[in-house]
Amino acid sequence: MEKVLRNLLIWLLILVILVPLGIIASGTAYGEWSVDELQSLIGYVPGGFASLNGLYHAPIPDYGTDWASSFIGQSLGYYLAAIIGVSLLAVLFFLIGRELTKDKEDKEDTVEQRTNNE
Amino acid sequence: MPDGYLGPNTYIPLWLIMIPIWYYAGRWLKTNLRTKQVPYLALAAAFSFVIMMFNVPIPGGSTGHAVGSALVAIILGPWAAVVTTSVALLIQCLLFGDGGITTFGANCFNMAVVIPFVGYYAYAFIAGKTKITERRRIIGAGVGGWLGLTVAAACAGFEMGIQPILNSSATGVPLYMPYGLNVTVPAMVFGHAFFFSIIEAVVTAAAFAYIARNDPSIIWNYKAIESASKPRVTAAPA
Repeated sequence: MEKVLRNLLIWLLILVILVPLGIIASGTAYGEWSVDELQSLIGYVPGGFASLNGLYHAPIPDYGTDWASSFIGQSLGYYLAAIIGVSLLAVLFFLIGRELTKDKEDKEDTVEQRTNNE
Repeated sequence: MPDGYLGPNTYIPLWLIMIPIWYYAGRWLKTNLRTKQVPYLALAAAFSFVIMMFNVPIPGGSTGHAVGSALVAIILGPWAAVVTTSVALLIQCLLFGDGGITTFGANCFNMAVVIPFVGYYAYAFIAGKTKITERRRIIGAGVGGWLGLTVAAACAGFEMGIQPILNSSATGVPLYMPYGLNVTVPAMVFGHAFFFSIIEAVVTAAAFAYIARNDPSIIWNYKAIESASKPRVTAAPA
């Protein structure tokens, strides 16, 4: 494998290993408050908000961190979410990319050669 | 942005804006993606996903994160970044419930369009006709990351902040995001400009510098950068 690709993959792996750092911050992102948080912030729940929020129930809510209360338990859930997300996207885009470049191989090589001969 | 923060008169137009953008981005990728870039495309999408998992606390109790799509825009082209970031956001939304269904168009507009295009053009403007490894280009990448994310945050703040004006009950009670522009825009810009965008800048500049120095041929417009940076050949003295 090419050196640059290998090193970038190592960096990606390091990011995945460090991912539990992302759950240390306990606050909520601006404008992402839950129904309860909004209630305590402004004293009521806006009508339209109430009808839309919670519209969809994801299979792994909160990136797998809500099944445990300990940091270790939450980290395991977060790891699982990171591994699922990263591998799903990598495989998906590898397949998409391969499909999109299917007929390009030869053309590219000749362009490459022409440039080299210049 | 989760469901409930934007009303239909905001989230529907943003969904509609995204449809032709996604279509064109897909066509662009089909035309321009090179065989050699395929593993990097996969890497870019995976990287976008994981970098967004690093929530950073800021003073005031809020959190946020970098997005990484300015880097993807500089390496694989802004249209490629539209595709990788949109699909990463789709996985976040569908599997992990991060980001709403109704607000998906808005989230994609802010993070998969504004960041890549603002980021890429800021970088290209600063880099000018410099060589691929030039310091000015690396600084450009950093500024691109910073500006892209900061402008995107301002856009998100704007979309939320216009809700009380656009969507309030007959008695004037907000129906969606309750805070107005005077609160949302400064809050979003502050958190990003001083924290998350700085992380975006450092990640963008560092990864760009590494790739530019070690294998610039994977950069989408490498040949154009090379030929533009060549010293102009004047007639050689006889």
